[in-house]
Amino acid sequence: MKKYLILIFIAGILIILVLARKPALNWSRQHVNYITAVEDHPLNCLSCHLYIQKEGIVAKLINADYLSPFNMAVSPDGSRLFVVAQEGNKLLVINTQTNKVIDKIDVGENPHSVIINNDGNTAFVSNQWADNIFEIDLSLLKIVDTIKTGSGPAGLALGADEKFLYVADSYSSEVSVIDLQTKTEIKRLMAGNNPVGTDISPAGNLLYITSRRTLPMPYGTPPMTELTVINTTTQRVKERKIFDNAYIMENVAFTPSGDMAIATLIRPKNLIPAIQIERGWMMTHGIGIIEPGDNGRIIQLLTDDPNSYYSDPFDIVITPDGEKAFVSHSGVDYITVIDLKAIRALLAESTPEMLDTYSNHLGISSRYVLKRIPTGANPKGLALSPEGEYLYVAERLEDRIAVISTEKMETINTIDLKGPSRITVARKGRRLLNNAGYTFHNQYACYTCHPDSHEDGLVYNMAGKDMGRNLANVQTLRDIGDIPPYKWNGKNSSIYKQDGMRFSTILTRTESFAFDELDALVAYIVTGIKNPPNLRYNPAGKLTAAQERGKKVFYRTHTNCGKEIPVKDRCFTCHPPPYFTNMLMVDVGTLSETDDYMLLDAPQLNNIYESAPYLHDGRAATLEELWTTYNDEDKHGVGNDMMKDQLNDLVEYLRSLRDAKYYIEDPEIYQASTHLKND
Amino acid sequence: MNSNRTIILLKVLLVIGLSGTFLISCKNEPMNGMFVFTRVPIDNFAIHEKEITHKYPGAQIVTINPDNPDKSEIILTTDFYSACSPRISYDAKHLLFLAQQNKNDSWQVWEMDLRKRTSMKITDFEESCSGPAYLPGNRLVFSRQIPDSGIGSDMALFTMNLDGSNVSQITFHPLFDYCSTILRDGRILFLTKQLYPVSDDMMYLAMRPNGTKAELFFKGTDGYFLNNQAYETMDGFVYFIEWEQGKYNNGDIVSVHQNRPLFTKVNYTSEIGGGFHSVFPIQSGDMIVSYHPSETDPIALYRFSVKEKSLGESIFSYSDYHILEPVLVEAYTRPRNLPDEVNHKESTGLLFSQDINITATQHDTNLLFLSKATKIEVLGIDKSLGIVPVEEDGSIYLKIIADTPIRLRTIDENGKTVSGPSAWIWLRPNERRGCVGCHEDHELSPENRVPLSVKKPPVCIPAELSEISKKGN
Repeated sequence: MKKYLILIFIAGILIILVLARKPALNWSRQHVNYITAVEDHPLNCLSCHLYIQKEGIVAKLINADYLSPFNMAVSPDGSRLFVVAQEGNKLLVINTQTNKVIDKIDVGENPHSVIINNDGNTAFVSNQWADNIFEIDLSLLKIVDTIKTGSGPAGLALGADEKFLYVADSYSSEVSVIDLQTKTEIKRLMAGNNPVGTDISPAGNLLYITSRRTLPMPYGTPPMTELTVINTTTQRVKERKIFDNAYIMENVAFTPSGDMAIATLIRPKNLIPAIQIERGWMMTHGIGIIEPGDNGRIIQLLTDDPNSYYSDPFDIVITPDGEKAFVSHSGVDYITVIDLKAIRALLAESTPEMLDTYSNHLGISSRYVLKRIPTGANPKGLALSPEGEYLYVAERLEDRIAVISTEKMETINTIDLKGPSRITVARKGRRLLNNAGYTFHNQYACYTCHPDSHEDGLVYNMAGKDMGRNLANVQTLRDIGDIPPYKWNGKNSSIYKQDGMRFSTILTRTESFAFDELDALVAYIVTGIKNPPNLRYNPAGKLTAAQERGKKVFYRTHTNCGKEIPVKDRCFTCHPPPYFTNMLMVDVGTLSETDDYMLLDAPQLNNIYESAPYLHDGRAATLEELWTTYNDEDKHGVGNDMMKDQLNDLVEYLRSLRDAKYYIEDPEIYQASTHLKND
Repeated sequence: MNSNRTIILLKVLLVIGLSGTFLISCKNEPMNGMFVFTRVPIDNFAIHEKEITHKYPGAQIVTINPDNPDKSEIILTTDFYSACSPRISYDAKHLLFLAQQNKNDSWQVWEMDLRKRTSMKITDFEESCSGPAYLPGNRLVFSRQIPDSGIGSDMALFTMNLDGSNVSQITFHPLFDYCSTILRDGRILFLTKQLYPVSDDMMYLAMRPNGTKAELFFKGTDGYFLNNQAYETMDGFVYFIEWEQGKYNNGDIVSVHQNRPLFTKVNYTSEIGGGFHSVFPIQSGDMIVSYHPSETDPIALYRFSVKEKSLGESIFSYSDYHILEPVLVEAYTRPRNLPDEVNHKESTGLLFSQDINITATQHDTNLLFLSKATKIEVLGIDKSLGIVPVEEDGSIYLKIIADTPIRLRTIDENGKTVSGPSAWIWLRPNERRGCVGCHEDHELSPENRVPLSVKKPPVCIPAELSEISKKGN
């Protein structure tokens, strides 16, 4: 009897499974259709649910710890190549004779650059997420000192006499001047917005520092990005050279004769209706040339072709003979070789009007581009051997260094850094996000408007139904996996929908991602993009007195007059921790005449200090302006009763906000969002 | 006994089945690596060099094995009176071609299953079609004669599903259009020749498969003609045949690069006598070409080395046929399948020009003396559709009735023409298209500034457009 019962039980289970199969499939189909907003995404639970695991054993099993080589330096005798492994938090030492990694030195979090002194016995590594510099003794291959800097140390330059080290502080937009005898920072100079790249003139008296983000500009005007010139003798800013209509100036290099310096840059078209890609309508990429002297010209030339774009130029190096420049294009996996003789000839024969036209001319590159050299995924930093015969290319998402013969202009070798051999789904997604091959004519990658997976600080005329309407401030991609919906109007309920078919129609205007590519992209966005630590405003989680006061303003329930603030008008109602968003749509009275009516998705506030400008259309240049200029009717929270010092405190508190992980255990204030939902 | 009979019966059935499978497989042998071309009876071969489309009465599509050409010839289109224009599908399993079943039939597009060697008619129009080509997404593009609207008959491009459904016209100007190839970026490259108001030279335009964003791709030297077929290689070179007026039998192989097609022309055969008529690049880097040493020789099939710029061995020839339009049966990378912004519920498209006074690179001294344009006129086929004042920054923003040919003319404050009329253009329903200027340098990208015109609603063209109800309503 017992035997029969078991059989009946098994049969019952089987029948239930058979009967449940069709409803289960129907439910799954509806679920996948809802998430992806298409009806033909394959029904594969693992492709989505497995690869978006952020923590735990599964996450560890499906992901891998990559090295991600970023910037490099060659020893003065050319025998060793030093590679900053940005994700691996290491400095890799490579023997250039054997092309093997001979040592790995642990460095700080998210290292950015490395520089070697003239004797070749000391290296300095900037730790961008630790706000310090490591001094490394290269004979011992050991860290011998740590030097405090401003926030987000990035590019490095040694003064001619090597008594001072100059550091581009990318987050605090300053330049730290380090006295290498006392190993202390002796002064900070104001730089452009988000400075990164550095180079010292051959005479040693001038330091050029590029910056990536535009200076704060009047609303609706083109970006203007600063190249800061520092006199290394006086250690003061000598000049602020402004590049009109350009940004993301990553790096700069002087020619050996010093007759010009060349920086990489992007010329965006954010103010023009985004109605097509053809004819360089969205993004163009190129170089900025700075002629020395007080009357030196600033010239911008494109490295694109009319039907092929070379997106996201990153690094530039110039051969010792001053005849060739090499530019890495991290969005298309190419190195462009530029004939500097041809550049000089072009500059000599051109009037200012002609040069002005050339700055938008897609065919002019045929005058000076000698060759395009293909590379592995995401080429970033470049380094030349001392005699200039070899070019080393950091293939960041390949965990590999390419060795290029500068004479043959072709890759002659590659150096495997011995990172993980498998390409995880998230890694594949990261490659997709960084690659412009998924946009018509390779004109831009996701990364182009989202540098470092953040945002580029520009407002785009996305030309929804009509041109000139519904301008959009680019939003960050950092840690957005758990805070749908997406887009300012909240129309996309998932990242799948955000980056799916409509994405290709509106943005990339070429074939949409294949299903497995979309799975990978979503996996990377959900799991792989972290907020940098907020060391500038909240280094250890202990708020300053002003921030504490500002916190009270943020969580207040009554005005200064003692009147209760309606729940819907309290800051923390729409912006509750841990992400400081309730993920609901709201009207805060900030729509302009050029907006169609819509509710707006309450944005996250984590690390908001580095996301200027503010509001959905970027009208507010600063956090202060949210209340002083754009909240007349208290629709964006009750705030008109605030005193100036209260507003200052509130802004200080907002600047202190950091990654969501620090606010998950905060039940005191978490109730706010549930309150509204229940309403 | 019964079981023995059953076993015998099964064995017989098995033998029959295997034999059948063998026979079918003999017929269904794959054609990978075979050459396919059009053979044209010499007596029927007449070219009118100014015409874009060429159809050859009595022509047949033939395949040969290049390793054994003389003993492997098979006529693939024995059921047709005439057939030409073979195009291989991306997976090399099918063949599109143009054919007439009987002598007086119109030319229609057919598709052949290269394994089964069976053909299926795809288009079925009264008018003749030409120039078929595969599009991604199980669609094809082809030319079709359209009725005379008073300015002469022209050929427009159409797309449709491979099953013959969902026909859509995609070009709307008074020109002859012929699809030359599908570029790897997903756009249609088509040869076009203006008919009205004056006949003009041939040129290649590139356009998205929904008929949007048509733009000049290549225009040959004045007085030169272009072949209607072109092919792009994996490294971005687009090869075609160009010949000087009156010297059709002296055609040359030329290429342009897709990255900068207007200024990268290379002639590979200027030093070679005789004439080239068709070219097809193969993945080895070489080409198969249709060539004859002199006008009196039959056009034969040859190899050609691009690297050496030299003619290779003769592969195959006839004494009484010309060999044209060779293709290799080989799978190749499918072009991008571009998204479609056309919305047939709309009746208009939007046109934006950043500054109509930008007419060419500013160092062109011939253009320095042009007066400043203050208005722009939109011209239809036979009447003006409206004159619009431009904004102070030179920008215009127009809502124009879709699928209608227009030309643009810029006018100064005295009513005199500054430039234009332009070439014919059209907008598809819901298309949004931008220009830097008028008659501007084709390689100029726009200056990044907010245009004044888009701060207002678009100006409707024609003016009564606001009264036109939406299509379908």
